[in-house]
Amino acid sequence: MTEKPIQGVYRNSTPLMELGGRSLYLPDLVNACLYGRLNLFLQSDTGSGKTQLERDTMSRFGDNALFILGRNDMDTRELFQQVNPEFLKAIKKGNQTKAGIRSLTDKIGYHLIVVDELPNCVAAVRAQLFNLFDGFIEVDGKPYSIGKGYSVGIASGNLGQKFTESANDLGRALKDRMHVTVDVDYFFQTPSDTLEILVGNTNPRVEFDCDAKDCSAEIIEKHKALVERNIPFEKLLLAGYFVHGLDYCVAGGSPASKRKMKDNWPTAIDSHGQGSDEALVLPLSTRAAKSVIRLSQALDYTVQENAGNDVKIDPVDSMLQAYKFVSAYSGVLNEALVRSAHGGDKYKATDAIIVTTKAQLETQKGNIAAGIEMAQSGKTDQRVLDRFTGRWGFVKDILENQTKPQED
Amino acid sequence: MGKIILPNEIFGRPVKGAMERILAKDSQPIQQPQPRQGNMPDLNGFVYVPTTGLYVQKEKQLHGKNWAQTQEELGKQGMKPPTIEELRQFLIYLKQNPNPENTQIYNEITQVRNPWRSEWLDAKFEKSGKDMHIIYHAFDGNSIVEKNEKLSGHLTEDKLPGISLEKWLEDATVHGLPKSGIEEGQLYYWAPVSGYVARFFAGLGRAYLICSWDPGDSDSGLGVRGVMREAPRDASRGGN
Repeated sequence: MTEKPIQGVYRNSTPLMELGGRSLYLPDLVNACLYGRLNLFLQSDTGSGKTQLERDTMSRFGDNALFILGRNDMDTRELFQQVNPEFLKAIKKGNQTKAGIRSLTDKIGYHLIVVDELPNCVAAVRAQLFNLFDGFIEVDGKPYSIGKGYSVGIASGNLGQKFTESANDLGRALKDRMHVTVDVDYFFQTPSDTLEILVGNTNPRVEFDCDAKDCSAEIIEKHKALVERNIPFEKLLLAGYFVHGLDYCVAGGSPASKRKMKDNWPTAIDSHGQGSDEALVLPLSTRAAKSVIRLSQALDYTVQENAGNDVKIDPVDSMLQAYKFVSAYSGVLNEALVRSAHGGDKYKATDAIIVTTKAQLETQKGNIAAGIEMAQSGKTDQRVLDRFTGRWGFVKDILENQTKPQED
Repeated sequence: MGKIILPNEIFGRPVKGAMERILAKDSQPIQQPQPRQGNMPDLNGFVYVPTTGLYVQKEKQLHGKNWAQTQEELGKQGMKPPTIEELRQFLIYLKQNPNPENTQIYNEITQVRNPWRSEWLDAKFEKSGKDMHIIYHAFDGNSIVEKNEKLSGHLTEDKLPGISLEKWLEDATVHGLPKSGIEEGQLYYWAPVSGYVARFFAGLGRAYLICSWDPGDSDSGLGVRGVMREAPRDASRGGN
């Protein structure tokens, strides 16, 4: 039987996106992150319901979920105590062999680690928490796997201005280890949701859905099925655009690389590019591009789970929506331009990038189809390759490599 | 490393024959190329729109000329009128990049007030069998070539009033026309009619996106904004 999307205590019917003609909501995005095994950070002011959403999600993992409330006085010792008291006892004793530690870490079966108020944690604890999200624990510099092959993290907190300062320790850590970030305040519950919540009860505490069944095995199976799915070529191409195409800019009248410009970006961009995405956004890292593809695949999976496998989903739309939720808070945006041109709204800024990307892609669709036909023929045609210039120059390199006879 | 499998279909279009389609355009432009003539215009008089890669004139010119005359005159300057989609992207850009000048241009085009202002757009409509086609121009290398494409997904009925200007700017068909089912609003919309052309109009009481105007019409308030393509760059020095 297909499991239904999260229907716990949390209520929020504000859509995050439309995909395949269907609206997707915050619980759907959480689902997609679970299926895609993508760490999710919920950024918000207090009282937005994010802890309730975390609790709802935990209830679907039965005993295989670990909840940690971030505090600034928590040390790694206390964290280990929470993870497994036996584990801490063994470390205290010392003289533990690698095999001995492994036998203990193997017993740590948490598939979901939820950290409420993560920014409160000190750096050393945060580092261990991120390790837990990624499925291992580090003892004496050695990693030991936990979670029996599947683990994922959901963290939340109100980062405020700190989050935007990607140069600081917390910003860098989040950028590196959290794959998807949602600012819940931009997708706040509707007034009807609020009324429904208030009518339900007036208990201000977070509620735990005790009746929820343990679906962790089902979620892990879905994750495995998702990973096995073929990735459409359109998605790979768009990922290339995010990594290489968005690196292209014009400075001093010549093509340039934003990566190579380092701190000269965006001030050195030519004047006509100052109002464009050339000055608005940096390219994605390869790691972030992987997250975009994985989230896109997971969003497709979630839509089809909700509405049936016959729902047609445009791979471009899917990738662009995934890009929005991976990139908006990942430190790639020019904060000054976001403030001056988009009212400080990072999602509006990424929407503007999406509009540009769509328009850019529209001009290249015929050329890309021709390039693929050329590659399939095994013979390069300069007339086709010459059509890929500027931010589309990266396609030329891909096509040239794909045109070479493939070795088995 | 996983092997990349090249698809036989991409973006909903077949790969087979794609080379022939694009290369045929190179060798046989539908319209004789109109090479740029004369000096390049001063770019200070233009707004660069990154989404289209085009420079759009800040001010209208060629008032009092009909649709065909404006096409011809702009062609001599290496320019063309904006298509409906190019105007839409121009408006989006002006709106998303507010400064006194951009806001003034946006208002000049769209604001409901006296005196009336109007500008020609590069779109002519022709019926072909049951289908409505749009004929417009695009830059191709140093040439301006004519395109003839079938319309689909657009609002086919007049809306008096009107459609939502904001929703039109948010979403439109690939040709820039409002989609069927667009939210109602105050922008009057005249749907495409075969043999007629497009213009944008704003005056006292209302603003219009008109896709059924007589191409032979001319008036001192009716002009055109020239667009020119992005200055060629040396792609071999790409920074990717």
